[in-house]
Amino acid sequence: MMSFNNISLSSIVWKQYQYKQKSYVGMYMSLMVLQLIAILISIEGTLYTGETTDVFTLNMHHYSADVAFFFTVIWGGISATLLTTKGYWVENFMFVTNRLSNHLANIMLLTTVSIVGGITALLTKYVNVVMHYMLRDEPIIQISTLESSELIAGVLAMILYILFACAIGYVYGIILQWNRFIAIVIPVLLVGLNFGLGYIGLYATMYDFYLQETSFLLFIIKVLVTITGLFGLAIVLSNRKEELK
Amino acid sequence: MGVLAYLPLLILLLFVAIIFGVLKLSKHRFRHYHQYVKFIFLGYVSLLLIAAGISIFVPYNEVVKSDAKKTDIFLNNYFAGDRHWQDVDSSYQQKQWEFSVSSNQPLHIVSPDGGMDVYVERTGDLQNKIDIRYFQSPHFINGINVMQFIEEDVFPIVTFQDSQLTIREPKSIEKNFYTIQSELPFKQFSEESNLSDGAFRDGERILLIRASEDIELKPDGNITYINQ
Repeated sequence: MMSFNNISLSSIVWKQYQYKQKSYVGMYMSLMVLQLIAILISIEGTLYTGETTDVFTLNMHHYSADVAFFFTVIWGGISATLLTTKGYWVENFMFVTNRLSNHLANIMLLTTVSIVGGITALLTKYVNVVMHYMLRDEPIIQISTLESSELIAGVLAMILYILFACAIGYVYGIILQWNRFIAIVIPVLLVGLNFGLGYIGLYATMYDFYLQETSFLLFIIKVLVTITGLFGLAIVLSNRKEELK
Repeated sequence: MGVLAYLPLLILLLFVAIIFGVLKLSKHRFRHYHQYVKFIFLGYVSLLLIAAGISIFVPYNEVVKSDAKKTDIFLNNYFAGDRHWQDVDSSYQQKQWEFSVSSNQPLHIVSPDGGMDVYVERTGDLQNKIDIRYFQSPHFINGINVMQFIEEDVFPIVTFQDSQLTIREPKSIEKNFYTIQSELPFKQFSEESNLSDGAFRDGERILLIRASEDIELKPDGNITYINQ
């Protein structure tokens, strides 16, 4: 029997998003496991600087959430790739759905986990601070408290970096489903160019373009345009796939 | 190419294994799995929030990070160069000693070899006295002037007995510092991003001995005379 109900795209996407939030709850579990590992690694500080002179040896330990942030970025990329694997893909056909609504729900899910991942990664630093006071007597040196605008910019940048990794992972996952040969060639080329040919301008250009951008507005524009482009590419590529393949 | 070059790949594989393993576990969907994970994750977030709350009340030593280049001063220029030590910023003079001496007896000066430079100035404004001053310029590690935490520990030990002035280096100390720092995305849009080049600078340690011109000096160790 056919249904004549008109269902809007937004309501389908919202329902799918809600379903995915429950169904892919394991993503949050893996995020937690990796961040706990990051906390353990950072017990003695994320970074260490040592200096010795004739009269003193100074060991400087720095607490920051950089390890947790780095782990979360990698987690975002890998989780997004896994979202496109066959097992997850097939589940989408339990719904009245099309590829676009599925992609939009996935993008919403990845945005949500990026926000959660970014905020929780930042908070891991404080677990190390509290553990420091439980284990040691030395006070912690607080360096240059941030302005509120710098704080907001930093949190947003953290979330955008994770979402950026998600977008890369997602498009890579779609390529993997679309053409496995190309999907294998891409990382081999990227790693091979790095190890085999040594320095190439691509990495330095990428680094300068995103990580060295000090204007927050320009950074947002660059990253959002790239993320949109990557998700757009994923949608276009998946349209070339056969259904359920 | 060392094994370390492959470390990122190994870490990546480990990550894939962990994430894949946890996600695979979720597929088993044992009873109330969704509720169970939700409960654990909320517990984790609560732990993070409690830690963040407690960290507001723990004591911190607040330090402002500064650019070492901006306080770039070469103390030696004021002693061995074209400038005069009296022009040195008074905050760099850390300690002063004065001893009474007799002009009839020669003054033996025993000074250490090492990182501290010892200068001697002959002056006419001191009568039967020697004036000793210790100067120390800031020592920056990661933009932090660490001297503020260890200054007295690195002061030289100066003693005077039986016409002998003995200068010794203090016993070497080892200290651990723990700092709380901003993450990379925070540094990217703050002033801290510009500090990386000027974050390190070795401090200079100088001891100045001022003695009357009529006292005979017998140095034992490396000393440099000013204006001679």
